[in-house]
Amino acid sequence: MILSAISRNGFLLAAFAIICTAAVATVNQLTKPVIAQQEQMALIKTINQLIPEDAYDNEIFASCFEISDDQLLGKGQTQQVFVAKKGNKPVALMLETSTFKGYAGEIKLAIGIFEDGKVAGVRVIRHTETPGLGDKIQTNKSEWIYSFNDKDYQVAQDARWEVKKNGGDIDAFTGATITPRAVTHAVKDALIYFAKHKQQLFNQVANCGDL
Amino acid sequence: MKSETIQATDNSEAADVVPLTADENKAIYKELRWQGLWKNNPGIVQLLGLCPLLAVTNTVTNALGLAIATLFVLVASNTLISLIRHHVQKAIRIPIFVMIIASLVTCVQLLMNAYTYELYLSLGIFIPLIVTNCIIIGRAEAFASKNSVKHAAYDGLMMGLGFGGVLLLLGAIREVLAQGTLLDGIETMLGEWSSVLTITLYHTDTSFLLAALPPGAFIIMGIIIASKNAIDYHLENRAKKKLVSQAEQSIENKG
Repeated sequence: MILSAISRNGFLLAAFAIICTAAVATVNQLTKPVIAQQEQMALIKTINQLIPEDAYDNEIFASCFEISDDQLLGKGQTQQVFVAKKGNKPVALMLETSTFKGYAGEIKLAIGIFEDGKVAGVRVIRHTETPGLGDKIQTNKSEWIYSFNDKDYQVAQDARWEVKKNGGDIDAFTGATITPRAVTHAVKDALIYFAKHKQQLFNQVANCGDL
Repeated sequence: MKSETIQATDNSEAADVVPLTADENKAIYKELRWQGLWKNNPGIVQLLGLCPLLAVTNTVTNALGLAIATLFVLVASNTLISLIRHHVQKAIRIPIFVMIIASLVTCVQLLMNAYTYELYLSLGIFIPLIVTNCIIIGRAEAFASKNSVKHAAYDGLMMGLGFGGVLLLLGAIREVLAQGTLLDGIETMLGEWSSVLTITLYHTDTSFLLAALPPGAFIIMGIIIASKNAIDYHLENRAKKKLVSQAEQSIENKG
């Protein structure tokens, strides 16, 4: 009597588990290509904001490969790089970097760097800084992040890559110092990484383009 | 608590057999509307789901996104649970409810990821967290598992609207106070055309931070609950006065 009740309930639970899993799996199958496309479009949108579209002619999305550097690109993080080439000559690249020196958690950035080492542009991919203060690193809140455009890094002028408060060139914005300082340092470190590994970066074989 | 539940179940099963008259049916819908939208509002009376309520209401767009997602999950889970209510033993109903709700939320999450990508990113963890929103399992257990499909779906709709209304109100107050805008970022949800819907009430460089941060959400929430109570008190007083004056009149008439 009890046994039959147990087995009946067991079968019922199993049946519901199968139906529910099947439903989720179906929706997953249906939405998978759309989600992948959305992610690709979001990424291409970021790349196009950083590197002018007419400056390159390769399939930039297929040029992706992964790098990591605990010191310069965020500890324990794997970052993606996309290389822009025109007629097989390297023009620029976009690399991701992370910093944990902000006010709250990770700030993930996409940095476009021209072949000559100049910054093409910087965008925030995601962050959890304080709304109203630290979020001025977003382009829709403030123009601040554009101040990196066309800057380059030279060892002799290391001190310029600081917020003004610390004697550098970069304006901080009202109400927050930690966030802009973290972003400034992250961009500087990425430029140092670029200078160190330039040859490798432009000749790397793509290995994550099937994203 | 348990005996109460069982009793209620027995009652409703009896009620299912007896067909309701049109008037009775109407009265039930009216009561469900009143309960969900005002008297037993999940947001400001039952105080269920406060975590998403306070966390994502920093803009109207975020509030609207979560409101629609929660509404959809509530209606669908109430409907499904009401559909299966006669086939599920009491002993295993909770794991089955949880499975249904979790699957629904996962589907909503996947769909939002696919079709409203940026909104999905800005709501972040709070979409999967709909699973843990007490309103949903609460309505499933307290109402949908004991009532007909139509009533359960309607209850889900009204509870969802009640919750969504509070989300939107809180989102609007906080967004106006903190940024001086309304519907900022709506294009992430409805597409590029809708950016014209964004209303800028005033420009500010030093925003009123408190409203954008969680403490501000708590304070404004408190004010909303207090206003609701004040309105209820006012209505009750008026009803009492009316009653008293009616009684006085009838005494005078008799006299």
